[in-house]
Amino acid sequence: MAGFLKVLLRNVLQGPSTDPYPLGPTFSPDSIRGKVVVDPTMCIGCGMCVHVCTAGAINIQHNENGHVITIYRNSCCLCANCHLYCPTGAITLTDDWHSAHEQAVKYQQIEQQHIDYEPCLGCGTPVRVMPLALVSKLYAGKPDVDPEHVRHLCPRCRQMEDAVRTYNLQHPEAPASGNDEA
Amino acid sequence: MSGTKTFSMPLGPVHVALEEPVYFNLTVEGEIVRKTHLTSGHVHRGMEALAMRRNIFQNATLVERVCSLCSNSHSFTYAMVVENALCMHIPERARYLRVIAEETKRIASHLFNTAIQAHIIGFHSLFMHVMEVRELMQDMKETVYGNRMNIAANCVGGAKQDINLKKQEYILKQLELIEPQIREIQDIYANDPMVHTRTYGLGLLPVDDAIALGVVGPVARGSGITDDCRKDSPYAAYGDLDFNVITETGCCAWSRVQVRLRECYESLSLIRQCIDRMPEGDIRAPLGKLTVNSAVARTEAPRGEVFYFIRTNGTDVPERLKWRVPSYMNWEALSVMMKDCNVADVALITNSIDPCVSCTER
Amino acid sequence: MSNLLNKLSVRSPWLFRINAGSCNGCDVELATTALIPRFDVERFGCRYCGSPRHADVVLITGPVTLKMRDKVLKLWDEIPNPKVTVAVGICPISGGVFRDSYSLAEPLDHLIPVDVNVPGCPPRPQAILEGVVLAKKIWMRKLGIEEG
Repeated sequence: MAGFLKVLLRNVLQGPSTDPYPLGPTFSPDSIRGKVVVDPTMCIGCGMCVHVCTAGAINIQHNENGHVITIYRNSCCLCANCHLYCPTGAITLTDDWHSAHEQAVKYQQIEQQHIDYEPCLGCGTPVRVMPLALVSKLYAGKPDVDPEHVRHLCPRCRQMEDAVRTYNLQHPEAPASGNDEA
Repeated sequence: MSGTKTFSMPLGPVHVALEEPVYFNLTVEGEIVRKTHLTSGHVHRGMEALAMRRNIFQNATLVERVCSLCSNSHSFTYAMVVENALCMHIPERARYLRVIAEETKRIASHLFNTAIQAHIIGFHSLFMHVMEVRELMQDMKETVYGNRMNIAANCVGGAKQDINLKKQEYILKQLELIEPQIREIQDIYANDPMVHTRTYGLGLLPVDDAIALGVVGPVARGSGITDDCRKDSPYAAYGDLDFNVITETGCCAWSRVQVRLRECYESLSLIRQCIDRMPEGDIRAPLGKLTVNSAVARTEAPRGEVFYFIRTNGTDVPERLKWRVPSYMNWEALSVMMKDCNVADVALITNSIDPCVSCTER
Repeated sequence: MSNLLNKLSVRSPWLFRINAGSCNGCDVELATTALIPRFDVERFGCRYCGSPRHADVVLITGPVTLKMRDKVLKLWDEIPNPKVTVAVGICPISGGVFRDSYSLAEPLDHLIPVDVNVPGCPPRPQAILEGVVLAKKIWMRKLGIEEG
């Protein structure tokens, strides 16, 4: 018994260990996995996050002028699979763990981003403008490419330009035989 | 009691003493339990069927929710079984990271079970003290991995997140804080007259019965059987690390708790060794080729051996995923342990096997 | 702050917890919230009770499996009105990772009226405390004591 009495006495001397929350601040580390947010400048709507999400909390709707990504907080199990597998790093988990809400606002607990498409500079079809960071990474070894121009092209026009550049062709309308290597 | 009368006494499925829904039907004769009948299935969530409808990336998260107390062991073993099926080799650093996550969860799980034992005995101040000590581990998990229960440390191919130098220092600092506390707790559980009288010699599982029933984990080791997957078939980095398999020969509830608490020291030392020896480098390997294949893997969870089987069919959705959890083996031992025990001991004996209903019923 | 304290100390709702097939994560966190000094839910006058007939606030965890559905409904029915239902974790709210399984009943709010949701997998004890404080506010509103 003496062993535990020692512990008791020490704990009494230490004073209360109660966390004052919610009447005061609480311990909350930065690395905590909280609400998921999407960076609309980086999301390319590839659907990898939907593929790896176990809880089915992510939905991506494509239409002709853009795509909408919705993450339902009430389904999200905070496993960070979407963050891990997102190829562009668009999804991050914030440290916002304040999740309690009333039933009336249940369906408003979402993270939604609308990503609008812009006409392709080459052919005019609506296209997802590539994130600048991604283009800079892709064309890192090619100083002659203007990232600002390339990112506004649709994949087909980009392939054309790549082919033209790679094989020193004269016109973008030239046969697209070099597509595979582009 | 001259005229021996038996009563049937229902317990559960929702009861204040039960953490999880199970329905016990005890046949009692006065204070003595003569027969126990168990109705289960309340926590059956159809997880094996779900696993066959989800792809291998989703399943890593799904199996982590089999049970949150040994969540990491499930995702760990699952990742291993997929890697075996896909013939992948994970980076050296990931092996060490996995051991750190596993041992962290093991300490937290063992402390939780130990605390609940004090709770059942009615020693609430000890219960609160152990839970407060466990909070150090919980804070560590939250700071390092971002969640207190489902730490999501593993993914197919390696570890989800790295532990940088700053976090390593933090872990070592927390371990420094927790070690003397666990030593103190072990001493209390070993020698405190209240705990000792209540648990010593209770829920006896003799060695022969333990072998016959095939119990695993601290239940087997509490009966003096040296059985530990980490030693028997070393996986991850366990082969390169030094640790002992803890056994006790008391075969009773007291011994099982002693095994758990003494294992915590081994876990602390394992985490320290990992941080010390962890090489630099990648933490994830690229995905292997999906073929028609089948594989197995086993690890030592806090409760005993977890065994996974997978059969792949060339797609990223497994054709079959099957697992066996330690509690499944240990449940059967309850009939031996509870033979002619008092009604008041039922909860204590049940707790001594560290049962996990959600694992068993999944 | 003193205003908040006043609000919080008017009445003491008692808590009752139902595990409707949870993976233990939320249950362990509920036990941590309620029973250990660090989070000490008793500061708000709340305490756990063993019988549904004494309860005012019911905390439900787990995805409501088919086998637990009737038991949950029966227990919920035994709790006297006005009662506040709190869904803890993503499982009772939406099915969570077990969504679409053959052995689950419906999401909790299809079965009984839910008042507060605390999503998370599992939510940390501080988030559960927030949920309990919110539930208490709703409970007092239902009692007509104070406009929350």
